[in-house]
Amino acid sequence: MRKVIEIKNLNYTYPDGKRALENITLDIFKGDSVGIIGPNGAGKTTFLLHLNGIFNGNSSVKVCGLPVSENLNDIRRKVGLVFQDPDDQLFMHTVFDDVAFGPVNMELESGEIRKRVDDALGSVDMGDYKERISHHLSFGEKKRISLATVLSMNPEILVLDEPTGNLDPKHRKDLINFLRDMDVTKVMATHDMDMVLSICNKIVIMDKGRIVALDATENIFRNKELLRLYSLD
Amino acid sequence: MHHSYIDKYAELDSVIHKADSRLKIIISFVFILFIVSANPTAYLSFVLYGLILLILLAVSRIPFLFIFKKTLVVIPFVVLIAVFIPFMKGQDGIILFRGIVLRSYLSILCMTLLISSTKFTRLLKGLEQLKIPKIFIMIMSFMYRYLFLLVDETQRMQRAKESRSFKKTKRFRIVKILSNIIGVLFVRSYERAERVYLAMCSRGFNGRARTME
Ligand SMILES: Nc1ncnc2c1ncn2[C@@H]1O[C@H](COP(=O)(O)OP(=O)(O)O)[C@@H](O)[C@H]1O
Ligand SMILES: [Mg+2]
Repeated sequence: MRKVIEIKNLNYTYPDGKRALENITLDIFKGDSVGIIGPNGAGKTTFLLHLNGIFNGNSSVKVCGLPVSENLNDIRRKVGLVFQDPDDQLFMHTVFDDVAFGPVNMELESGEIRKRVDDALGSVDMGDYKERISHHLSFGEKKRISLATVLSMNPEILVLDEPTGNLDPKHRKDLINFLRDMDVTKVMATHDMDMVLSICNKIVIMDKGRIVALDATENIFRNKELLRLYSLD
Repeated sequence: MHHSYIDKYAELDSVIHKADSRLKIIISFVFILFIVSANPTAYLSFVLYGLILLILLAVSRIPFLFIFKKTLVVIPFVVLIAVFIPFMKGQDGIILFRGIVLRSYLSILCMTLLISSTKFTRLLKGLEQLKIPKIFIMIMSFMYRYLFLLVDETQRMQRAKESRSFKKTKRFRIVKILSNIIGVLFVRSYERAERVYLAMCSRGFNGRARTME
C-alpha cells in the first residue's frame, strides 16, 4: 500500500510557549480511515492543521511524498480540511459562493465549477440551498455545507475536525453513513466512538500532545485497560 | 437568536425594491454627492433633498421607524464633531456644525434606504458589475457575515453575566464588567479572523480575490 501521509518526529510549540505536539510519528496509507481521539486540549486540532501546511512544526510532514512546507498549492488541492466550527468554514455570503470558493481558486472553468458545486451539495443532501445565505442556516445545515466546501475540490485526503460534534441524531447518522461510503483517505478528530467504530480502521489516541496509542480499531477496542485509562469505554 | 437585520425589509416588492441594484447604487452615490456639496446655508436644498428621500421611503413601504432607528448610527459622529466646536475660530462654528450634521444625516438616510431596500446578495452583485474591486466587495461581505455573529456572542455573554448576578450591580462594577466583555469580544474576534483566514488558505486562497469567469 502507498503511504499518503508521512510524519516523522513532529513537534509544535505555540508562540506563547505552549507545547502542543511532541514527537509525533505516524504513517497513513491510501484508503485508511484514521480516527484521532483524546481529551480536549490533547492536540488533535493542532495536529490536523499540520496536514495541509497551515502549521509547519519542524517541517517533518510529507503528503504523497512531497514535503508539505514546499508544495502548499498542490497539497491544499489534495488535502481537504474541514474546520470544527462551521462559522469559520463558511465565510462567503451565499452557500454557492462558499462551495465554489475552492474550485474558483483552482482556476477551473465556470461550467466545471457549477457542476462541482451541484455534485458536492447534492452529496450532502443540500442541493436546494445554493442561493441561501450562510448566516441564516441552522447549525446542522452549516455543518453539512462545510463538508461540501471541500468535497467540491475533489480531495484525495479528507481531514475532519469533529465532524459529528453537536449534530442531531438523524443528521449524525446520515453523515456517518455518507463518510463510510466515501472512497477517499480520511483522518478525523472526534469524541464520537460510534462513528470511529463504524468508519475507522485505525485509531490514534492522543494525550498531552503525544500519541499514546496507535493500532487497528479492533485491537484498541479489545484493550479494555487502555479504554478505561482514557475513559473511552 | 433574532436581531433586526438591516435588510429585514429587503424582500418587499415596491418599485424601489424591484429597481436594478446598479441603478440604485449609482443614483444613491450621485445623490450623496449633491448632498455633501450643498452650501451649508442653503437650507432650501436640504429640505428638498430630505423631501425626496421621504417620498422614496414612502414609496418603498419600509416602516419609517425602522429606517429612523438605523439612521441613529450617525449620532457618535455628530457628538465627535460637536466636541470640537468650542475650539473653532470665528463665529460660524454653529453654522458649520449644522451644515455637517444635516449633510451627514441626509447621506446616512440615503444609504440606509439603499441598503434596506436591496437584498445584500444583489447589492454585492451590483457592486461587482460596477467593477468595484473584488477585495472591497469581499470585505463588505465579511462584515455582513460576521457582524451578526458578534452580536450573538455579545448577547450570550450578556445573558451569562445576568444569570450570575443576583443583587443590583453597582455602577462602577457595571463599567468594569462591560469593559471586560469588550476585551473578550475583541480577542475572540481576532481569533475568529485568524481561523477564517486559515480556512480560506486551506481552500487555495493566496491573497488574490478571484471570481468565477
Ligand atoms: N492559538 C493557540 N495559542 C496557544 N495555545 C493554544 C492555541 N490553540 C491551542 N492551544 C493549546 O494547545 C493545546 C492543544 O490544543 P488543541 O489542538 O486545540 O486540542 P484538541 O483539539 O485536542 O482539543 C491545548 O492545551 C490548547 O490550550
Ligand atoms: Mg479541537
